[in-house]
Amino acid sequence: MPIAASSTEFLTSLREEFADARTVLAFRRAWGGRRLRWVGWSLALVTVLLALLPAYVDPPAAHLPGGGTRIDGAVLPWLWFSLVLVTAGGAIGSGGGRALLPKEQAVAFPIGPVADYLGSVLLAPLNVAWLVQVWLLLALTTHTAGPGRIVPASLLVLGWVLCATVLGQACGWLAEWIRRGPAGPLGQRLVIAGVALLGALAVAAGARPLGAAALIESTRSGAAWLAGLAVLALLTVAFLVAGAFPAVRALALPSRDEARLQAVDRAPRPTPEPTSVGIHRMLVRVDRASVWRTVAVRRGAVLLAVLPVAGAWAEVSWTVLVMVPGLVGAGALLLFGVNAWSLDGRGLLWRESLPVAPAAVFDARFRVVAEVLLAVSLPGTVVLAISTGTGVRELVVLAAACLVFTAQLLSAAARWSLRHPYPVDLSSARATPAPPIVMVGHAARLSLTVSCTGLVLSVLVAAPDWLVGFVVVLLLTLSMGRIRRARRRWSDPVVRARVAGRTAS
Amino acid sequence: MDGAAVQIRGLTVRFGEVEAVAGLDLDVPAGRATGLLGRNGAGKSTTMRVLAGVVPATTGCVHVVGIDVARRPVDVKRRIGYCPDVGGLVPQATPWEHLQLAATLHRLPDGWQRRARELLERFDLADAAHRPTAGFSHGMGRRLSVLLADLAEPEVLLLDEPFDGVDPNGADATVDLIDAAVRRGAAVLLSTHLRDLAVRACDAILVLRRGEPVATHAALTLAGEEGDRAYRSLLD
Repeated sequence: MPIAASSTEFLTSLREEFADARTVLAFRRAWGGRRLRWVGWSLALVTVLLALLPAYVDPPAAHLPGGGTRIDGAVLPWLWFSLVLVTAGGAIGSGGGRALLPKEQAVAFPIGPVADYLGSVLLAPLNVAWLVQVWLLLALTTHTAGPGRIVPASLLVLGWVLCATVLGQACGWLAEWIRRGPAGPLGQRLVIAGVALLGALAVAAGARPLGAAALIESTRSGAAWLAGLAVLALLTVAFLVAGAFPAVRALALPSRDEARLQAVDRAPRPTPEPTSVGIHRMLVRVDRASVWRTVAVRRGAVLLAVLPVAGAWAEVSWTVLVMVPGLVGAGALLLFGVNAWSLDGRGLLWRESLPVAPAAVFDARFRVVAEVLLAVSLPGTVVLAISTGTGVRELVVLAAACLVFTAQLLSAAARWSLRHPYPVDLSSARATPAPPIVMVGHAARLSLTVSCTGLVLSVLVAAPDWLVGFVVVLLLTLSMGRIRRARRRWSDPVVRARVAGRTAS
Repeated sequence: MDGAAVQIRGLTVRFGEVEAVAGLDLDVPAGRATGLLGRNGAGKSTTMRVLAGVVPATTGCVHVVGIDVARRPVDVKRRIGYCPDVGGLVPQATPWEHLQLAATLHRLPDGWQRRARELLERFDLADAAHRPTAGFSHGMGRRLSVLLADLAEPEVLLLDEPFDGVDPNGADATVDLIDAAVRRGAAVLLSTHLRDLAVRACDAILVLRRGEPVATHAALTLAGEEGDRAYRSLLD
């Protein structure tokens, strides 16, 4: 964005960039009109249900010494605050934020950096943790507010969601500006570590984020509620404008990661024997290289692995803990797994001409996807389990949850990668494995799956052993059956030709 | 088979309503290089993809060195080398990893490394052998695709647009590679828009139009200005 000499020029330039962002959005929306409507209605339905139903559920029995319920007294403020962390984490992991148009397409259009920045704000919800966080926030807030205050409480949540998302996105662009500047990735890491340390010290000193209870209380008085909403609206606009400055500066600098990863020499490793084991090892090696050398996946995976650890300072309920492997795994799946064949890019055509059984290629690819899911979801889960002092029975259910979520996510990856292949270049940290509209659909479905499975698993902790075993085996069998069916479909040359053709187009 | 390394009879390929190849008959003899020419959308790349086992035929019979592509695709893939028209490289893998993957899957005996290094030298890629291909220029990528196709010294070499964006040295290396393949008895099928290079590299040229063959010429008859006029008259 040219920082114009006069405020009139500045406003004109801002209006033009807003118009550009709208045009690009309309262009991308045209790729999935029906899908968008379906996704939009589904999301709206789930959101309305989550706003209404919890309000009519009895308040929780466990009351804190301070007088409030466990929800509004301890968990809710953290939940409100963590939306900023989740958005900022997603933005940092994706190089400032997702791009409305892939880099190689964007070069053909005169899209300004502010339009690009606004696009990244719009795409912030392409994040399973963000969606689940918003739903949890809505459900727990209306539950705490009660049936008489559903509408004001929901509007307050909406105001906060907008404000926190814009703030988180601004933080993400600030971090990206530091990374692309002279301080580089090390400077960025030091700043993030410094902020995390300050936060930890503040928490240790007894500081608590946001008086969520006070905000909810404001819904009792029309004037206080309106004032709260007005403040949130003002803050949203202020953060939106403030975020443009680091974004514009960051976008003017080249991304170091792409250039560095593409220029570095990789030490050659010995060639495996041409036996079936050796072939599998070679296929896995190439697939692992494709995953871990891809900027978008590396940065996203590291942040997803680290971010839940931040929750160790907060109070994490069992229901949330049991969902962590699913939420983090779903986040990892959205980095590349929903379009797993795109890792080969246009090389898929060449790979398809090599003499190897299709099943061997499928096994190697989805073994690597499973490795990534576990590598990303286990660290946070283990740290949170230790920090919350989880008992033996909970640990067993948590281990089962890791298995069930991994199988479910793997089955989703295998099926969706066959059904919806897209040609994408994942070399940019801002790239997504599918167009934004499709990603919204994927994120929504994964959020629902993880939430439902998480709720089932969370109540299992009090169930008899045989029931725990039965439910876990049932869920695993369902997922494994779907993976087997996807493997059979991949063996069909017509299906493979369609996937290879679309991925390489 | 009648001695043809590639035999296509009545090949049609449809993608939904679009008929990419419509009843193609083609024989490519061993020890010869055959060029496939035609306008965009004439069906050249689709024919190559069918021969490489990447796209199944809708109808028709396709045999490569006597093996039915539809029935025994993996056996066919052991006998062919394929350079696709677009990209053809795994972005985050290095040229050496591509070569290792191809050598392992083709079950090449130990010693393939020497040939691989020679090919990398010849195509001026030795210095970039261990860098991910995502950072390659278009021409570098094309050169690597060509040498990958020839690594296993296949009986049938399928080169789709190998000269696209390649500098003159790279084009020379590709023509030399085609000559060497023909000398060792391989059948080479070359698809390109560059008529001059096709004339230089091939013995015969088949012109396709809207998925159908319209003419087969000895390559030299399409050389020079006269050849250009003859070729253009076949396109419309």
